[in-house]
Amino acid sequence: MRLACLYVPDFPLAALLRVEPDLIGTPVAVADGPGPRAKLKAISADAVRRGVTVDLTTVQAKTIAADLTVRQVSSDTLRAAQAALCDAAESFTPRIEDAGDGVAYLDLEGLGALCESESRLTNVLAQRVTRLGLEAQIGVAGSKVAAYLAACHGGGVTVVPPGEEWHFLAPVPIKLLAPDPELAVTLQRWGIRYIGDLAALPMTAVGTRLGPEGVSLVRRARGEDEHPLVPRSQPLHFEEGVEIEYGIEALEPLLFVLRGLLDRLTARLALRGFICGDLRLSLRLANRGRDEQTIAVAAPSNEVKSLLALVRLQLETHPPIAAIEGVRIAAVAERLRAAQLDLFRPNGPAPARWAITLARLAALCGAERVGAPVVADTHRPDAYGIAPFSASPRHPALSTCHPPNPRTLEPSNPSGAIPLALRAVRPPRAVEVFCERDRPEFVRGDGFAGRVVHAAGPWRVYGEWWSDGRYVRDYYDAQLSDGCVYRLYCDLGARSWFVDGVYD
Amino acid sequence: MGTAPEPVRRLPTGVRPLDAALNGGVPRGRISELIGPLSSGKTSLVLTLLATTIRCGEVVACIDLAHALHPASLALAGTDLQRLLWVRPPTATAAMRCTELLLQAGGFAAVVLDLGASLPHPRRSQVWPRLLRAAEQSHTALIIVAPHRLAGSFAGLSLSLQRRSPLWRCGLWALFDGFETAVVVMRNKLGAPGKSTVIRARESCLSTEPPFTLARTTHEHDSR
Repeated sequence: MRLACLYVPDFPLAALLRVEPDLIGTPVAVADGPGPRAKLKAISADAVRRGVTVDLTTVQAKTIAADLTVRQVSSDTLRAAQAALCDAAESFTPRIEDAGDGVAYLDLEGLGALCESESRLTNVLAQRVTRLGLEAQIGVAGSKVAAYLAACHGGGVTVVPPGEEWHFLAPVPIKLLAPDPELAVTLQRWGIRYIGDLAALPMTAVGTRLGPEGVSLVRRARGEDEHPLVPRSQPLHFEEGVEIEYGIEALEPLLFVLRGLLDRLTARLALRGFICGDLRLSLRLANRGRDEQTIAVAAPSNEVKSLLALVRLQLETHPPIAAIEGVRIAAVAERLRAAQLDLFRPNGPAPARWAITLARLAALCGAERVGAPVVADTHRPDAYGIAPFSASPRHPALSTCHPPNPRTLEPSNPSGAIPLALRAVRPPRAVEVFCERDRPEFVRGDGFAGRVVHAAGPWRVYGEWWSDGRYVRDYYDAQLSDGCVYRLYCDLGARSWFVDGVYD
Repeated sequence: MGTAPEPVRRLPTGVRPLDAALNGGVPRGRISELIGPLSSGKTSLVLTLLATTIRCGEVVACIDLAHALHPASLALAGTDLQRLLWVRPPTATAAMRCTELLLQAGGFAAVVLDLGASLPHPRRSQVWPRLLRAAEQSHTALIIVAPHRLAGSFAGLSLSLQRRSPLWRCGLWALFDGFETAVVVMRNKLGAPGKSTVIRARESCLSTEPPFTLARTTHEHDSR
């Protein structure tokens, strides 16, 4: 069995730099809490060069290096970074184990067909991790322990050839096995400093003197796993989050934060071969409240600009009620389905390009204003619906909606007659109608005024008497003195008149 | 020696006399205008054109600034509504942007921009060359429906629909049956302007039965 271990050194710092790439190349430290007495957990190479060490307090470190940036890392940021690491691994194989704290294992069995060698495979893996904003060290060996030690000790990409784990691990310091402090002192007293020395000890003698903990340590030193690789079986969940040190009240700074989150989210989705569907935005507010919003994405897309436009539209229409201290955004992963083109029908829009266009249209107009028209399943004359539009070509025989009507107009009508169409007036416009003997004689309203020259009707339409949407209407077709022919109705429930269309 | 110009592809309007006057229909890759007042039949004509185009297996789009599209009118013509993209932009500026996006996306045989009575501001006249270029590149027929001409010299075809007379069926019950409209080719860069034809938008042209369509069909069902 061949296993690879992805190991991100100084994981809290790496997670921070993934969220704030501007800090790369500057002295940065991650503290374990707020305030000047908080201890540093991880420090960057630039901070080390200035003399800062781990376990100093924030104020001590600031005294040594005045330009040191000290930050805390939220659990959301750590969780997202760990998920990104697992996504990079899962882009190769579903058999991965999430070990937490910047460590993930993946089973390399059967991946030989992907790359010619293990080192080539691990190099591609490292590039994918880098694409997600993390720098990982990778070790490949026959067991989890050996792969982990190879990743920690080797730096970069280290491939331990099969059967040579013993030779590789022999010169590795014991501290990488993270023994119990008391055990470490005992081993140091015995003069055992390297894994090779520990692995050479007889197991029974170690068990007698050091107990089960010593036996476990010797087993690990010999490259034997205590637990086999346990592949994770979690549902697809793509989420990015960040905690903000100061409350954001304006939209533009919030969108700046969201752009970074969407950048990272879409990069993870793209690496797994998905595109971004509906978005769920969760805002932690300064008043201890939480604002949850769902943003419908009409056409799944990984284009950040379009997604950000949708988010902007949503936040402009539903602004949060207080300053924002934390942002989380999750995406529903969708697969971009390839359309089977028809040999005998013209091509529609290209699916990938079309998805972006539809997302942009939805951002411009609102998702509910873009789609295919639908004749609503009701007898209400002004009812209509809108359905998701699919540009994929379909054969006429497969069309489920509105099959060709044998009585319909021929493609080219020799008589010059075409079906009469109605221009809807939405919402129906209230008008004042003067009647004589129950016949409309004069119509007056906003944009409509004139004597009725000719009228036909009424046609009584009623329905939905079983619900609150009950309607009873008398419809008329009326030609006014301006020459236009309108469709009028009298709502018998409200005793008022409306214009709901113009024949055109 | 120069190469021969590529022949202009056309979309049939669905009305034979008009197609004959236009040498086959509305040109693709050009801007065409359908202008006329309300009740002149421009909506009926453009929906017939869309239905004919969809029947050929093409995909079409309608940018409906006036929110006036009546899906039942299209469905009665036997159109597969799933092949029509309906966009209802909130403003004239958004309508222009949507049109440009759809033309740039390509793959649509026709894009109809129905401006209703909301005409774009004169300063937006610079959008027409952009839209024309996008239409040329995507070989899409851009059809503008408006009360009067907007695209000026960028329009390859301008059809003026002039209201003639409504058609009423007289008898025991008076029925509105449609209207007669004169279509005049005001401008035609790819043919001779000045031709005219008469079309009739009729409710009864779909059926030999009494014209109980549109609103009237609901009466029988609801009275159950």
